[in-house]
Amino acid sequence: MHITDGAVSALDRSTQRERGYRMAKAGAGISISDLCFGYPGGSFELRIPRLSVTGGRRVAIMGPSGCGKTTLVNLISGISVPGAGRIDVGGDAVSLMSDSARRDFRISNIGFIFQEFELIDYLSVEENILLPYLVNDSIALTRTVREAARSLAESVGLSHLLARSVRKLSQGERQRVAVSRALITKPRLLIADEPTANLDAENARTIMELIGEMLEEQHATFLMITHEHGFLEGFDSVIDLPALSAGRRG
Amino acid sequence: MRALLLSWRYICAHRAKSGILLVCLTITIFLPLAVHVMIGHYEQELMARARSTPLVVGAKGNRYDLVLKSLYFTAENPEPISMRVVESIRDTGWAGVLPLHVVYTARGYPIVGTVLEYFSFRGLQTAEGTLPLRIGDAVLGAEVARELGLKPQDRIITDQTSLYDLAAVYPLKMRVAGVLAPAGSADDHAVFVDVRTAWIIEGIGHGHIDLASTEDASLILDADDQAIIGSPAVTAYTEITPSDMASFHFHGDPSQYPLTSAIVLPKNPKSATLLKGRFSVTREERLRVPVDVVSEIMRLVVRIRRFFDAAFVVICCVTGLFLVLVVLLSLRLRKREMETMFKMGCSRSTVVRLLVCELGILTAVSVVLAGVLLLGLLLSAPSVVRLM
Repeated sequence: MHITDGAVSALDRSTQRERGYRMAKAGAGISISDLCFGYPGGSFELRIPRLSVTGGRRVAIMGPSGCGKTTLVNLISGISVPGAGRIDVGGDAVSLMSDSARRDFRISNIGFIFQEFELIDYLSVEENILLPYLVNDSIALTRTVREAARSLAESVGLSHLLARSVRKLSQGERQRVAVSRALITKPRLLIADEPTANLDAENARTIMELIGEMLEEQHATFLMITHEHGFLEGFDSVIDLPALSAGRRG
Repeated sequence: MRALLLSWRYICAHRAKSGILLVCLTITIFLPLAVHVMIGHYEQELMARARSTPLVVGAKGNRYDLVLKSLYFTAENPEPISMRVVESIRDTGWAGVLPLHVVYTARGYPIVGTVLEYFSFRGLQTAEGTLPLRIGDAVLGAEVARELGLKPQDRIITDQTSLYDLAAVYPLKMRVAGVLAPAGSADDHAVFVDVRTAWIIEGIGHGHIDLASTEDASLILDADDQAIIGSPAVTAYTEITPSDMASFHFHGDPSQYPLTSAIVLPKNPKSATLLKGRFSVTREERLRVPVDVVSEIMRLVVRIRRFFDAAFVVICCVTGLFLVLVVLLSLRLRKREMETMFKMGCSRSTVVRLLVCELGILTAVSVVLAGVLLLGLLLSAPSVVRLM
C-alpha cells in the first residue's frame, strides 16, 4: 500500500480532530526491504535486506553495542531516514514521508520508552504522561485524553501522585510514568530502548511485567532493544541484528 | 497555551537562573528610563525655580555660581556685592529688590540672610511659629527642621568658619522662630535669617556691654566727648536675647555691607530692559537672567544624557548577547530533554516557541517589575532629586 506524504498527514490530522482520543488500535506490522543507512562522514553502515514483523507481536532486538540497534528503531519510527530501501509501518511507507508527515505519524502511531526514561523533571507526573500532547499542537488535549491519563496512572498505581513533581519519585514510580507516557497516545507500535539497562533485577522484572500487562490491553506491536537474555521468553521473536545484517552478505 | 504552560513550569523549576535573568532584564529596562525620569524631573525643578526668578544681580564673574547660589543656595561663593547696588536699583523705581546673603552655614545647612519680602515672593509660609521678625531669629526650612528635629524656641548655632583663625567671629546661637511649610524646593533645605543677622554672623555687627554706663575701667581703652574705645577685654555676645538686643549695633558704612546677590523683580518688561541696559555697562556687577543660565546648564545635562543613552544602547546589546549565550547554553544543557520531545513528535518550531515563550514570560515580568520601580521612582522623584 502506498500512501503519499501529504495524504498520511492530512488523514491523521483529520482523524484526530474528528475522533479526538483514539480507541485501541491493532498493532502495526513492520516491513523493511533493502535498507541501507549510514551517518554522513561516518564509517558505520546498517544494511538490512529484508525484515518483516507481524502486527501485535513482541520482538526483541539484540546485538552488541554499536551494531545499529538504536539506529534501526530510529529508522522504523521515522526519526532517521534511510539512504536507500523502504520501511513500512502499519502499511504506511515511513521512509517516503516528509519530515512533518513522519512527525505526525510518530505522534499518532508510536510510543517510546527510553533507557533512562527521560522524564521532564520540571513537570508533574500527570504532565509527563500527557507530554506527547503538550509538545504537539497537531493533537488535541481533550478532557477524554486527560481522563485516559488518569486511568493509565490508576492502572499503574500512580493516581495519588499525579500532581507530584517527577523529581520526587522513586525509580519504580518513574518507570511507571515512562510506560504510561509511552501508551497515552494508544500507539500501534511501542518501542523500548533498553528500559532495563540501568535497573536492578527486581525493578527490571517489574517494568517488563508492567509493559506486558499494558500490551495485553493495547495490542500494540512491541519492539525492545535489550541485552538481557533473561527476558527473552516473553517475546514472540528475537532479531539478532548482526546475524540479520550478515545474512545479507551470506 | 501548551508552550506557555511548559515554559512557565520550566521557569518556576529553575528559580535561580530565571531570577538572575529577571534581574538583568529589569535593570536593563529600568535604568535608562530611570535616568530619563530623573533628569527630566531635575530639569523641571531647576527650570521652575529659574522661571520664577526674573533677574539676579551679582558680581561680575562665574554666572553659574551666581545663579546657583542665588536660587539653590549651592555652589561656590561668588564675589560679594554691596548694599549700594541694592539701593541704586531701588532708587530707580523700576524694580523691587530682595537682598541675599548666603555665605555661612548652621549645622551644615546654608544660612540665607534676606528680607521678609522674600517669603511672600517665594510663596513660603510658616507651618509653626513666625517668620524672622528680629535679629537673632532663624526660620528653618521644612527638611532642616525634620532632619535636625528642631522646633520653634529651640536654638541653632552657626558653624565655625575656620578652626585655626583666632580672629574669626564666634559662632552665633540663634533662636528658632518658626518652621516653614514644605515647599518642594531649595527653600526646604535652608535656614533663613534677617539679613542683619547674617551681617552679625559675619562680624559687621555685634553686641556687648554698654561701655558708656560701665563702671569697669578695664573695659575702656580710651574715651572723649565724641567716642568711647573699648579694650580687648570687652567680649561680644554670642546670643541675641531680648535683654541685650538693644546693645547690638553695626560699624561702618551701611551701603558697603556685603551681599551675595540680590533678586531683582522688575515692575514690567520695559523696566527689566532698562535695568539690563544699565548693568551691561557697569564694570563690577552683572544682571543675570536665571532662566538663560539654567538653560545653559541643562544643555550640558542633555549632552550627558545623550552619553548615557549611548551607554544604555551598549548595555542593551550586551544584555541581548548575554541572553543569546544563556539560550545557547540552555539548549546544550537541555539537549536530552529536547531530543525526547523531538522523538515524541515535537517540531523544531515548537522548541523555538518554547524558548521564545520562556524569554517572553521573563521579559513581560521584567517590564512589569521595571514599571513598578519606575512608578515608585516617579512618586519619590521630587525627594530623590532634592537629595541629589
